[in-house]
Amino acid sequence: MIYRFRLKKENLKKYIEWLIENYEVWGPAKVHGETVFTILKSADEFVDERTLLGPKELLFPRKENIFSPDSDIKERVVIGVRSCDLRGYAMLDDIFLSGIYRDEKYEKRRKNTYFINFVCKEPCEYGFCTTFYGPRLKDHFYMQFMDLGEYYLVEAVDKKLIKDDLFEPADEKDLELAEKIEKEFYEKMKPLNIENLHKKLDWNNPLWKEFAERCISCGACNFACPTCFCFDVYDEGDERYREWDSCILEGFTRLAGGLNPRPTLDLRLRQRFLHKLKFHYENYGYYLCTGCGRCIEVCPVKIDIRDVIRSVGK
Amino acid sequence: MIPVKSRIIDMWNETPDTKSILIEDTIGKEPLPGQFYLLSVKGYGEIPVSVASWKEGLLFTIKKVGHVTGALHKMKRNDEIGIRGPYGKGFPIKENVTLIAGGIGIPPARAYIEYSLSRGMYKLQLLYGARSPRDLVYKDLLDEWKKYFDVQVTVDVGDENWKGHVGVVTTLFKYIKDKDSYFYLIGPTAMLKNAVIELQKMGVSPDKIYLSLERHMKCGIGICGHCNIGRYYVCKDGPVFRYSDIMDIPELFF
Amino acid sequence: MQIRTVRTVCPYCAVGCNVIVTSDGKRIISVVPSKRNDINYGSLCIKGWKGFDAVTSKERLKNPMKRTERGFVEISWEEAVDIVVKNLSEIKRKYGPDALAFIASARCTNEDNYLMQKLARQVFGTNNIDHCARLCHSPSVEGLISTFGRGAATTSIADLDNAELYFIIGTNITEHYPILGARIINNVMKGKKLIVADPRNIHIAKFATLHLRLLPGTDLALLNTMANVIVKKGLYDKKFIEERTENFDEYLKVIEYYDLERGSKITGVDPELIEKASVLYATSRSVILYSLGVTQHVQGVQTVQAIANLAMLTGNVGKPGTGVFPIRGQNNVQGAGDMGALCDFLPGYVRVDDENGRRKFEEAWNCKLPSKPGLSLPEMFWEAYKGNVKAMYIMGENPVISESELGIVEEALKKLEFLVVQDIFMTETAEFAHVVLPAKSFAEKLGTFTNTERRIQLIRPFLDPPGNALDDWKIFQLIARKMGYDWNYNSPEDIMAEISKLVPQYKGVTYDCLSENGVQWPVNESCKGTEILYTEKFARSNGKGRFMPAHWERPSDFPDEEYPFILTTGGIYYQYTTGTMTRKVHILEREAPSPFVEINPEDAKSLGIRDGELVTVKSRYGELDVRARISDSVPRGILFIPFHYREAPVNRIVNPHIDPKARTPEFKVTAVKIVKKVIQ
Repeated sequence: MIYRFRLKKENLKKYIEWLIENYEVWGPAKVHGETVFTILKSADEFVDERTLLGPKELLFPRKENIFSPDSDIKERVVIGVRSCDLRGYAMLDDIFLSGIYRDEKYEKRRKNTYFINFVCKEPCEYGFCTTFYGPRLKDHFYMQFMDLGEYYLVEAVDKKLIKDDLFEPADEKDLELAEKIEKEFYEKMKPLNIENLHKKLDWNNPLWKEFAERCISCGACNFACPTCFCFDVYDEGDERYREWDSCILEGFTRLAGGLNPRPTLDLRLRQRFLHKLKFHYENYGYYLCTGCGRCIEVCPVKIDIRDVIRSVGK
Repeated sequence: MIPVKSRIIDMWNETPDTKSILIEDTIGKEPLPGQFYLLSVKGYGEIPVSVASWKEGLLFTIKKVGHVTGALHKMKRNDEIGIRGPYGKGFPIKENVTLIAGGIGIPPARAYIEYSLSRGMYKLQLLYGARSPRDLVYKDLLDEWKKYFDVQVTVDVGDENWKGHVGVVTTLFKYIKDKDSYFYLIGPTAMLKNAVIELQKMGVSPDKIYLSLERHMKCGIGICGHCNIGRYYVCKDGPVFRYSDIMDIPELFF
Repeated sequence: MQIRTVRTVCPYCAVGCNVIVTSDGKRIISVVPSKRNDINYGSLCIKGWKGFDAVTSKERLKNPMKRTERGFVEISWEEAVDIVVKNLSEIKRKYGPDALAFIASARCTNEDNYLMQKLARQVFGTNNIDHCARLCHSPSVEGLISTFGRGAATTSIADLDNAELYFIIGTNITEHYPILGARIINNVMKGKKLIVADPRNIHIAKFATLHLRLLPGTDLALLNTMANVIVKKGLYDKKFIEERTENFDEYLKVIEYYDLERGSKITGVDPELIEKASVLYATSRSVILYSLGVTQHVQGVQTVQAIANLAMLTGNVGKPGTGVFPIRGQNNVQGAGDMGALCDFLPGYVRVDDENGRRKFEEAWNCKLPSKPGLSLPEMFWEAYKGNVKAMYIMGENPVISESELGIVEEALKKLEFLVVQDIFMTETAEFAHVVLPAKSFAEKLGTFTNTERRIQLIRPFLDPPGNALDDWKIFQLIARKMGYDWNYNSPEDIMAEISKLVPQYKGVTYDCLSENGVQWPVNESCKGTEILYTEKFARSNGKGRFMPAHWERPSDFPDEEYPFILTTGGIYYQYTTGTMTRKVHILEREAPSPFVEINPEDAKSLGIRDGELVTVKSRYGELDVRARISDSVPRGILFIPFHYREAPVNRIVNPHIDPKARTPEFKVTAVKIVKKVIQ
């Protein structure tokens, strides 16, 4: 059941103020000239802008002590996250909340975090989200804001964060306008062809060697990706840490004796792309990618995952 | 991902660089042959080890190869140790099985043999190869097993006292009794690669060959990504795989 | 548990990538690269993504310590300052101020370094202050000051995009300055040309239009030969030379000697290749990027001058998309030099023996300043070994691993009557100290770093300091005040206010004006910086650039029958200098956990050396056991060992001969032999 409201644009500030009064609120703000996710202390700080990286750390910290007792995670609202990031976090749920093991801390964080995602008005430079879920999600969101000009269209799965005096019910015209804007977006960003991509994508694609020529092994693609979840575990004294890892690093698969199934960079880059665009699909039925384009944007040598998708031909 | 506390009941040397460790089973879930546990050495880390036997505790036979195994080797009786498991998919239980074990691949073979014998299934054969006579493990058991089924042993390099077979484990294939049996292979990558080629030459079908694969492991539960091979995770979908399921994966052998 | 988000600068290399860090005071929550295009355009290398965690390690020094028979014992700051002041003043009284030696840090802020050299000069009366730039780019300082007038990069990182051709010599750019290397790769992918001059088959060479694999130590000959070709073909910029330079005739006399045949013979490079490279360089808008492969030689200064000569010859300096770019190594090595943490320069590169220049400081600091140049870094250890230097104060430096003086560093430190080490971790050097002082890391303090393109940038604190660690500059203030000097800085901003009055290049700098983008020196009163130097005139007193020609000489240590290989040292991507920080970061240590010696496959075959085998590398000065790594990135006859690892301190066996002017050791060329290790 999706509730549909609308919020006058000039009331956004009041709404965020109300959120800040009642919850810990994270959102994009300008810090020393750069827009990044941080805690908002006042509604004035909020900017409706796409940030370079999404707030993945709020669900899956970049480094955490596995042995430490569950810290007190209070309810928080993350407003201004982009749809591509949010849809990616839903994929993380399939990893951390199902299977042999339910990650308790992840579960607590997930339950206590309310994401309010904003639909992008314009395509970003490297994004290709229309290939997957588009700027406006149909599901896997909590509260979605879409800019209709004078109003935001608000789609919510429950009314917990609906402030009655600011929100009014949406009507047919709003929905039509939303459809129209969405269609225009799809015109500006034509979806790539991913039909049977997981079947066509080949172990022997020449792109692996081509990318390996210039890749500098920074790991940024993994760290910036909203769907990447690989991590390393190690002991430091009495503590055991889990931290973000990168499958393109040599030590990722190196065995204790020194042997390595992926000794060269091209094999590791191959693993990354095949995992996202083939293996994960074979296991879960969807691609481990939301088309956010962040991996391209943070790459120092602009290795482009879209080239991989385009390379499979008809 | 939190290990369960346990303690070392006993520890003894098998070879100059391999020790057997008997750990109290504080988890209480009976494993299946081919499965593994993650042993946690405080301050050093965790390692995945196949369980060799579970009669009066969990028995593991571990070779010293690195940082964590080095620390493990220095431990003593009654020391605290953490365990998690049993994880992974073990060997399918079949009537007619030929086990081929190389080097440190013998512990899971032992697990299967003990399981099979305890259920009255005697149609087994074991081909076991080690680097040298000093590196042979479970020597008493080998003699014991010879009473029930055919056991062939070889070493890569002999010594003055060795009177048995010399050569890599694939040189024992001429002694294989039943080409229609299931073949369970455990050992270093190079051995698996050659063994699979030889078996196929002999006409064995890929869906009767099972391999226990070895990969770098961290979480043991299929989420950290380190042990993946194609669409599979060695810790979750393996370590035992049917060869026909994985034979087309280019990075299978390295 | 207060969440803070700040813009700061990476503490590793001198590219100075901007990062926005969010933390709760104890742990780092997120690391986000800055999108600004002028430096790192939304990217970071793996040290930027993962390396900041080093400072949250439990091994951080928390309290001052003094050495006792029972080992190191924690003491109060009061006691520590007392001990330091007592000992240093005693030794100064007994043996004179030059028995003291101070080592500043290229990793600490401008404010820290400025106060340390002020402490050495004003409070203790000695010019014996130096820092690790002596081990790498001090030939650049000497070389570029003598030719252009300023010892720093002539252009900016963003300006590199305007060049048509990159001439990369003596630098494994993608390994050490990955983001800068990536920028070059991107430009080459867009069609720009690239000439790489390096004996090794380094990553960037894959993209080279021309790769000149010259013998180590022959760069000067190569540059002279290129100049010869350019002059012979008439491709030099007559107008530029006439209007903007002097001493061209002397230059012509020297380079005439280096015809293609001779140049090819010395360098081992095909003459056709040299010719092509020379023509390409002269006929394009070109930038020369170089670093330690050029400077860590006995002829380091001359080679830098040869680079500057080549740029002036072709008019490739002072315009957008051209110039000479010494790629500085450490996050603030440029700043430490600017701040005068050098034995022969006061802040702003005023020579200590320049009476007029010195007077400005004597007035500002109200004291007489020593006029004789002090001891350089290698000389400090020699003098300590001989017993002339009795006390040392070392900040943020680990000479036990990084110095080259024949392994006498440990002996020298043991002989000292008093040693103070101020650092963030217990380093190998700190083990020898009498007093260890815990300092704040880059993550916990406010201050400025100056990166390789002369950009002064603010670093901001985002973590709480461990225990009772203090800012380096605060520690110096405590000591100065105890010595009776009325230092009254309330914040690093106060220190910068003083710096901006005394260092003309930093004239209009305030923290407000630095806020987001920093500013490149020289800065004017309204805090406007300078992107490209020498657009109108050079910075020498007569405004002209000076050709400084020199003849090539063999490196001080050269292979012979007994020692047939050339050992060259350097760093690798995952580790950083002596590994004090990077070896504490799990992922970095996992990627590169151990030292190795890279050997060419054919050499390995002829010596019967297998990959991973333990071998002994012997030089005339010492020997080292290390595992072999067979790689075709080194040509035949050359070995490479990274210097990060205390298990294999390669700097003990390298060539300690120093460049007479800049006093930099010839790390890059040591004659060695390699033998299989015999294990009993």
